[in-house]
Amino acid sequence: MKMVSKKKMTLLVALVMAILILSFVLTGCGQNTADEKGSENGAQESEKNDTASKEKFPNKPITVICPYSAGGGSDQTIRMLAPLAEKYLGVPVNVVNMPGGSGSAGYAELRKRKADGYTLSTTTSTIVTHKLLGNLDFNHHAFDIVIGYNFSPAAVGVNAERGWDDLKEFAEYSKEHPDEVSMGTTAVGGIWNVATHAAQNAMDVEWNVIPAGGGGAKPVIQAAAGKIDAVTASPLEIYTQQEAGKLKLLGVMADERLDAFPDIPTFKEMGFDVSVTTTRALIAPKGTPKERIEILYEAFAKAANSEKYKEYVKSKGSGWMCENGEYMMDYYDKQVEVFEKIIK
Amino acid sequence: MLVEQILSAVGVIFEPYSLLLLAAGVALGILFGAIPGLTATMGVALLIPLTFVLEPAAGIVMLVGIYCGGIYGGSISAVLVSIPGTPSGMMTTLDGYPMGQRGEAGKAIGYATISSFIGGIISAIILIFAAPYLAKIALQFGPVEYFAIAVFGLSIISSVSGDSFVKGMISGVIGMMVTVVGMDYVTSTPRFTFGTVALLAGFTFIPTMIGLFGMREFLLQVGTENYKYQVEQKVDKVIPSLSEIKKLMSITIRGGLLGTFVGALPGAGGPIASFISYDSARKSSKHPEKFGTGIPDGIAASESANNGVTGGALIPMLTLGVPGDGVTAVMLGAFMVHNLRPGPMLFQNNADLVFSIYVGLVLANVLMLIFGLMGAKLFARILNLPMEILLPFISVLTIVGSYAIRNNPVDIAIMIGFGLLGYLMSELKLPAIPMVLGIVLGPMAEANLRGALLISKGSWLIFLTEPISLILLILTVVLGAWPFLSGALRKKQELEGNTTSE
Repeated sequence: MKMVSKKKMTLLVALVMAILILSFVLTGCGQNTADEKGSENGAQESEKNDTASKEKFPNKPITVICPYSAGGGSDQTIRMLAPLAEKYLGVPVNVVNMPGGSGSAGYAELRKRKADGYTLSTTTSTIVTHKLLGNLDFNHHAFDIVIGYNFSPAAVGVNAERGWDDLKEFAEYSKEHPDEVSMGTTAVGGIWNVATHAAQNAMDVEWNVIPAGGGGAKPVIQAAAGKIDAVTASPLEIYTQQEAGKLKLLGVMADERLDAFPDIPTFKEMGFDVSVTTTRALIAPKGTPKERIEILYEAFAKAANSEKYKEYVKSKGSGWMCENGEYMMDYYDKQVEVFEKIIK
Repeated sequence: MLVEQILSAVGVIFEPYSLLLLAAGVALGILFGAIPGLTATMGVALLIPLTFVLEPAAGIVMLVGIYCGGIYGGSISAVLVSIPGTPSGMMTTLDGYPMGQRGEAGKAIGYATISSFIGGIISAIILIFAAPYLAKIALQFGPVEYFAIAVFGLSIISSVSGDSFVKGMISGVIGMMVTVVGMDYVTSTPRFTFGTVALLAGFTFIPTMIGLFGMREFLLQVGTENYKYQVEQKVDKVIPSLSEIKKLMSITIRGGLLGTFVGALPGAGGPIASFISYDSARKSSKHPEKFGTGIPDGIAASESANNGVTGGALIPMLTLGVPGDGVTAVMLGAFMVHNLRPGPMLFQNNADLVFSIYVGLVLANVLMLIFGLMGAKLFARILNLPMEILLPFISVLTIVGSYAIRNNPVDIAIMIGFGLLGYLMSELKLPAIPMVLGIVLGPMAEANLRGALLISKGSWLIFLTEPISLILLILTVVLGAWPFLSGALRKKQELEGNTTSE
């Protein structure tokens, strides 16, 4: 076997090293949304204030765990909000994706982190459902809540060819034909599934509920193709198919009509008292100093109030909100009450 | 009309600025694809914020470039170190890695590049001319049909089992059992997690693959004590000759068509496309026994199919607003940021953008071809390193790759666990590919079986009364039985031949 010359070999080792280092750098960068300026500022400040670090918060980059995959709804929203909040915090806010088990992996990780305000996590209403389902032994009470910043109500759409023009007609038909109308939704415990059952109670009907797990067939498409009659999903997903004439968006389960869809009635106006939303908030490990939570709230509230964020939320067809931790605790408590009846 | 629109789109894409972005996208995609743990999906997700500031057309076309490059890039690490850089590159390891070990890594990458290019171009052409029709077919696929596809895919076990069909089945069943761990698809009940939150998400796919392929290979190399010798790579001729390409033409065209079709089905994706393509290439080959020993046919079948998926997956995203796979799901987000809503109205409201994507896809494939062929020699040279230097690099890469996918140390443990399992399996001569089939198709079969039975209210007849599912199931039986049938037929012919000659 011919040996490679020494010089060549050094080159090759250098090349492989370069690739390896690059892969470290790239994976590292993968978690950064911060702009360079921010991190420089942060570094300088932390040097200056090393002794006074107890008074000054924040003085180093903040990590936000996103317990869902890159590119998903939670991820996109926080990656929109975080850079806006950076301006007011003066330090970089880095988003790290830790998906798995519908958010549970990320929530569990946050509990292990220091309660110093430098590690936060985003959450959806799954923080409430996991405990009810028995997947996790804790819920939102195991954390401090910084801010609630976004909600998405459930919506019901029906196949356009079935001839149901509004919620009342749909309810009447469903009542006359119990267990015949097939209703696609997410797996049990998923927020749209909870919404489906809540709507069944409010409308006093019984559908053939079909929860879809992973593996390809998407409920919205099933309904659009007429494989099933109706679907509970996010308003935007259904609205896209309505534009194509395949589905009809009958109503949203929110307290008020959404800015993005002013023509779509709420269930409440149609006489069905049901409101189910999945609500996104920022949470911190329990015991994070109050004043730090306050500082974080101020910064993220300013970010949430920016035109840029408001417009973004509207383009996503979801709802805008900006509420503090106390309000959000109550909010999730109320969700526990509603969801408990359905899940148990 | 069509020609006019395409020409105007060509004008947009060939602006130096857009062209530069596209080229950067393809190059970055190849890099992301080639590094295990960084996938095309992550590449697209991380660059979406960059597209906020770009023109919608330029930004989205750049993402298309990352997509193509990323899927192709997976073949490079598959050939070099037997770690598929992206899940789609799995089948490429079967023949690519043995070729590399023979000193033909450059050539293997050359074949992968050319077949990826052909597969990609075929899918682009179908996307341009037949998107609405394929979208209509994709709409016909519900839980019933998806279940039938999963069963069809599982029947491939019979042809990737190697010497022993029973061992293949054992391996396949292990794979399906692995996917049972985690939250139930329908009821969300934790299954076999033993109370640990870490296992709620099940065994994460990519760390499992890196373990089964990369870590196992590492353990095998260390175990053989032969690792002191490196393989001298022939790098003088990496571009396959025209006659060699011609020989593979039927495989690559079929791979491209299969890939496009599978890609157009939301949720099916690259790994399944390359499974089916590899299987069909093997079944129609004159020398099926050579598959898996390092022949270009295997690389061509796998790579043409997984790059065929790119154009296919764009079909449901553009026409229905439903992503065909993980990458297009993330891309959908980029559309929204620009206030574009993919779906049936996109073609009416933003036809110019749609045509820019078409032209961008074709061009991305051309750039991928150029970069790939230029880089093949360079990549192959990496294997000239002696094993005692290369192996530590590989082991680090497996760990970084597993961790990077969702920043969770649990995934490193999963990767090492599956590496040991893989090592044990190769000691017992249990083939790994059936296990992968089980892991990929198990959840699809389970979730859709239960979905279908919910729709039919418990009647199994629904699988026979739905035409598409019926056809797929009949195909499954025929193709699944084929290895036995062809064996029996050959014996019969031999016997008859013997009797007539006597």
